[in-house]
Amino acid sequence: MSTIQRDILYLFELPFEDITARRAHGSFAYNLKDRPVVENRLGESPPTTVVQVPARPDAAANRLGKATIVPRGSVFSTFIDEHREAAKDLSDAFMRTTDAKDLMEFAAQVKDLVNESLFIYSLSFTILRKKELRHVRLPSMVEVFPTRFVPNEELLQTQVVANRMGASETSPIVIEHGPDFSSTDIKPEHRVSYWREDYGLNSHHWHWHLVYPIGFGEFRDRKGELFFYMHQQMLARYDMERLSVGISRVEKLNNWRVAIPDGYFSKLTVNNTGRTWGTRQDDTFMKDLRRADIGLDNIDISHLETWNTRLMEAINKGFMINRSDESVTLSDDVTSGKRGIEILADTVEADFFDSVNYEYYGNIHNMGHVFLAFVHDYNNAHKEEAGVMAATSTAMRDPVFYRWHKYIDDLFQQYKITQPPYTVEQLSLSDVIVNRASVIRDGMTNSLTTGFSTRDFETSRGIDFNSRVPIILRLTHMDHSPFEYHLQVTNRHTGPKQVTVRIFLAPKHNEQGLEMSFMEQRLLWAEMDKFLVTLKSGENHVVRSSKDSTVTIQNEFTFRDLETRPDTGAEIGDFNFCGCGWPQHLLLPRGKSEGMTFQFFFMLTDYEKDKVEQPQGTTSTCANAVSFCGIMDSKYPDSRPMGFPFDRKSPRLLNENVKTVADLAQLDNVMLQDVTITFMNRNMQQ
Amino acid sequence: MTTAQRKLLHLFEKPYESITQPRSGGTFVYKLDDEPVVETRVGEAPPTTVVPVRARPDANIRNLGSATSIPRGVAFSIFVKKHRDAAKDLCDAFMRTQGPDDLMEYAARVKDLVNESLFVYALSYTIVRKQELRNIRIPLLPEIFPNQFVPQEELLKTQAVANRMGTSETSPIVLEYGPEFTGTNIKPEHRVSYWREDYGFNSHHWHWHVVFPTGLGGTFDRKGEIFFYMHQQMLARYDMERLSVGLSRVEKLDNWRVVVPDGYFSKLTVNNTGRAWGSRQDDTLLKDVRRADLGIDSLDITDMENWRSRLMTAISQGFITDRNGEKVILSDNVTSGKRGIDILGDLVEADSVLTINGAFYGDIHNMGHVLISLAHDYNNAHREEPGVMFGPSTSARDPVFYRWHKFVDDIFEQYKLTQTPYTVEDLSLPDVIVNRASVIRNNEANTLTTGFSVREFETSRGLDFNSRVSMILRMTHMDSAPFDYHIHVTNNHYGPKEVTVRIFLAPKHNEQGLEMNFMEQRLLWSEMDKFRVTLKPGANHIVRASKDSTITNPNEFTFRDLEARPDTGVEGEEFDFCGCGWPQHLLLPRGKPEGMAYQLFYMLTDFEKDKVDQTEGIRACKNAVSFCGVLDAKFPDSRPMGFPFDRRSPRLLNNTVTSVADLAELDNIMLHDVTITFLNRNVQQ
Repeated sequence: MSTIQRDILYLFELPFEDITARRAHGSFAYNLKDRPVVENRLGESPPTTVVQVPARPDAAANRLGKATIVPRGSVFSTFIDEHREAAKDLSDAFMRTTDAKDLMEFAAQVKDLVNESLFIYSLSFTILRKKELRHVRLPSMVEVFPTRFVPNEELLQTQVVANRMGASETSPIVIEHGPDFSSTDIKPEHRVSYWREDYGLNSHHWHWHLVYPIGFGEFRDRKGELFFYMHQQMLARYDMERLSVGISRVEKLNNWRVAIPDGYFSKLTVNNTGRTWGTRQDDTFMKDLRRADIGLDNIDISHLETWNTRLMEAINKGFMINRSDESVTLSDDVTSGKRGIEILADTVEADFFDSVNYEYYGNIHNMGHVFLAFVHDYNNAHKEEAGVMAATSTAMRDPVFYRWHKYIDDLFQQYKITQPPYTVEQLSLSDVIVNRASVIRDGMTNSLTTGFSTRDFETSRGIDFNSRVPIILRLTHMDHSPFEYHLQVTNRHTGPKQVTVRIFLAPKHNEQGLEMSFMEQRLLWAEMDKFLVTLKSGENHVVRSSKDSTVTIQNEFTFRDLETRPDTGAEIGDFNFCGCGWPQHLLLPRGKSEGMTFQFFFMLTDYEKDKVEQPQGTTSTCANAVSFCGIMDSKYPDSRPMGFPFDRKSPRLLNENVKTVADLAQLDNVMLQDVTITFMNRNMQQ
Repeated sequence: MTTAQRKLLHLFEKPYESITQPRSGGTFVYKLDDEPVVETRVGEAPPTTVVPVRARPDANIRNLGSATSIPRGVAFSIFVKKHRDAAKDLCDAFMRTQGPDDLMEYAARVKDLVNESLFVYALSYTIVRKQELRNIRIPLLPEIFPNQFVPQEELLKTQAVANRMGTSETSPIVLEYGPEFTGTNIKPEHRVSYWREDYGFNSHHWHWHVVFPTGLGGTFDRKGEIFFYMHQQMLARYDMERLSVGLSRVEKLDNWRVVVPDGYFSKLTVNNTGRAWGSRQDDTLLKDVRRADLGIDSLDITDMENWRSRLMTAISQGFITDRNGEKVILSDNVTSGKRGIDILGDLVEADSVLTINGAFYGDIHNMGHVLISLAHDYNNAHREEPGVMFGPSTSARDPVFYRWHKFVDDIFEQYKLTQTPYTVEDLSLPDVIVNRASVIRNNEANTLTTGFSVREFETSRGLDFNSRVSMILRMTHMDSAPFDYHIHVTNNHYGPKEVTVRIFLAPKHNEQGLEMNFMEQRLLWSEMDKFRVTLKPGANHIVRASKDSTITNPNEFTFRDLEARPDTGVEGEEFDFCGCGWPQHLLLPRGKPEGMAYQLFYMLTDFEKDKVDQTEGIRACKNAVSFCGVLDAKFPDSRPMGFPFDRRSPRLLNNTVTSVADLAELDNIMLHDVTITFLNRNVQQ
């Protein structure tokens, strides 16, 4: 591990403890010149590494702008304007540091002044943004904030074990958690809790919003469109999961005047001192919000309704109104400037800087999260913390997240329906023929399997248990057996041809057991992979491993992974957006015990049309999860609208409307293949 | 030699930890001869007191009946039949032991087998009930279960401090808590949270239910009536407190088909591992309960409605129907057998052993607690623990507790209104004249003051913080400056006369600022004291300290108090119902910063008529007899509880009493105004 990696890494350890508390099992300490050193506790030997941190007058609380406005120990939410402003001020201060050492010193000095989650957010943001830190990786959120992933009760039980431990014990304490979590099967929604409460899913969502922050005024290529697409894909995958366990696809939450049938009790805590996240009972009504205590202006449900009306008016009219009362046309078929979906999404999310007209179209997506996070105590009568919907690292646990995002997605889909369907020219690739496509697992064709695996984290990195042995958190999660795609392609061009291979997966049948029309199935297609292949002239056999998917990341780094990571230079090629990306273990939907039929959709497109010119000097390519996370400082590497070819109405081929996806697969460059996914309900650990 | 007190005392310490863990700051340990000794933790000296615990083949799971049916770490409630059955089996097993050593060994052996709260309940019950343990005291509940009094967040902050502590630190860690607790002033109900969440009040409620257990059998004199009266008095005092802070009196919760406007979020945990008590949002609708996991297979609101309608039928008709279809007359004017209120109290509470017809009249009070405590997760869809209404050590924190008990009290009051008013003979005491009465505090007459005090507890007795220094919890609570009653009485008898002095307090005005008639003020009279005086002939000056009140319990013991206490014989003089009794610091209502007018009501009655013949060998109980009775003895006042305010306005001189002042026309009664001023400062003595 490089010195820089190490010195910054331990700023992530024990976020709720004083900066002077020792880290790395007591072997590492920050020595702040102006702060008393924490005395050795019983049974601890002195630290082997002490990093000196000089006094930093520039890191005083009064020079941090709004960064200290979010109280320590409470919920930090990027959905709340004031919290975003705090995050911006802290991130800006971090970004102004000149190098890694400077950042480490500054951050160490401010750590105990600002909200713990805000600190981790801004430090992570800075590490991702600062060119000279490109080789520094972030540790897994599970280890930084174990209380976001596992009920406090289970963690505290370990505290009790640690307290009882004799002096000679050396074996680690192991907490097993999952996969049956916060509720019971009495509510059908519980059937998908193993998925909603997956650590990788929630880590991904946190990282995604870290990479694409709201209202920081920084340029990100096609950020709005990716906001639409990434969340749409989460919904597609959620619906696949729901169909797997026998429940209907999620319904949008667009009537805010009736009770929300499904409540949620996360059992999680906001910090390490037992403060619980807000909970929501079944059949709770949304209420006009009065939470000035966390910096919110009074906001009413009628505001949401007004914004919704204006957004729908813009979509139906085909243009939005900017601050100067000028029309801004919404169209995805543009040759320059932002696509309509991009303009709409920036306005819906809403990003204060990127919105066409923040005052007029409001802040609907963010405020929906906030409304739902506070339904249980809308006026602070009970001094309750926000519910999990307030934070990106926890929101996906709650069933209402999907209902809210289904509403948001519906706005986008209403817009997408107004766009002209793709033409044959856009969809086809002349002289390239996909002859056959299949997936192979363990020598079996088109039969995939899912089950469970476990993953170990060291929870004592996030919480001070005052334990001399490591405390291991063993999480059980969904997993599947890896597989390979095999495509037999004929290239009739005389020379090699660069093509983009696009692979999607969808259930073959809806909840009624019926095959779906193109329009019904359209929203269920989940992107599995998208990659560039150079076809040689003639026959080609393309083989692609499921582990190489451009939507997923293989895994997250634990503290131990990073501690043992060999030193690498700043420009080593393995840089990627560590942490952002769909978890590899959730690449496949669960399927059913008796097997469930899905369809794989393979499409080859012309890389000449797909490719994007990158600006000069963009050297870092992102190895992982580019489809969901883009490439830092670069353009999104696919010129097609995201979700292509399923983001629009049925196309017409040969003067016939495409009725089912099978009609589309008549094209030479498209192939459709049924596949069975069987849930084995056993450990799949490799 | 280790005292019996200490041998039993440390069974209350660290209820969630294994029995083999050292206690008392590491100086005391139970040594189970067949279990491995727990290794000494880093930096700990070996314990100085080792109490051997022999193997007890009789203390295994098979001999405990249903006592092990409640999982460890979850809420325990005597309001639930299945939990009561478990408590009965454990209490019975404890009661079969002989002497403190036998109980200690047996209890030490079963401790880690049963639910922690059940264990503490059954052990407390046994110590209170067993003749040979009469000199053993129970430590204060906030030290046993600090998490039932202080949010876990606060407690865990001290854990974090302890974790950071260097080896040379010796000063204790102090956690300050109160009096601003779970809500904000956005909801008016928050204004009385300092009172609802008072540690002494909630400890009292727990102890009361230990002393008067539901459905455990045993003989208790006038148990149903005292259930009515103690809870009625809690409501009177709650309403005094509400009027002090400008709130209207509490409204009964008798429509179970509309939402409950006020929610409650206790911020407390059921155990010490972060499992939160259930919470209730504002405007929650009660639902039919399906919680087989808690022993409540099915409880419908219609069940409750049926029970209520049958109870009201009984009250209106003046009789209840027993299992054989026979009438049992309800009347408080009885010369033998149970008073109507006693029968009704047993029926409503409902005590499954004492109730006349549980199958017909149901289990309304207990099930109301259960229904409300599960409103947030009535069918276990969310695996939530019950809310604080589930158990007596926490239920009085929740505003809905008072609304529920107001409903229960209303059943009793409906009955009380059917009783004939007291006669002049019942009310008067010939030839005894109260000339003057007043209260004196610091030489000032009839002006009392309230404020705050702090009390310290050692939370490290209840939770293992793995800390070498004491963890002190410093709780701020309401308090009042002590005062004396001065009563000038003329005894016109030729000889001495034994009288009972009854003192009550009520607000003078209702929420509209109007003086109240007798019937309105009736339910607000709070008993302050009741004591016997022998009047010499002629003029008498009676002085009585507020600290001697027979409703309050000034002696609450911390672990440290009890460790330092010398062993006294079984018949030691200081025996009393330790723990049961209204907290002395809540004797007075808060009053207002600008002063608030109350009325003190003094009534002298003939002890010859009041007295109760006790069986031989029973001593009077010094503390809190009015609320807690006397153990194994009869309630030492023959009058109906609440006398003279428990019935309709009496008639005096052929006129109906319209206000309490009319009643004070009687020679043996005196009424005077008193001002209570809230100083909002520390009034620690």
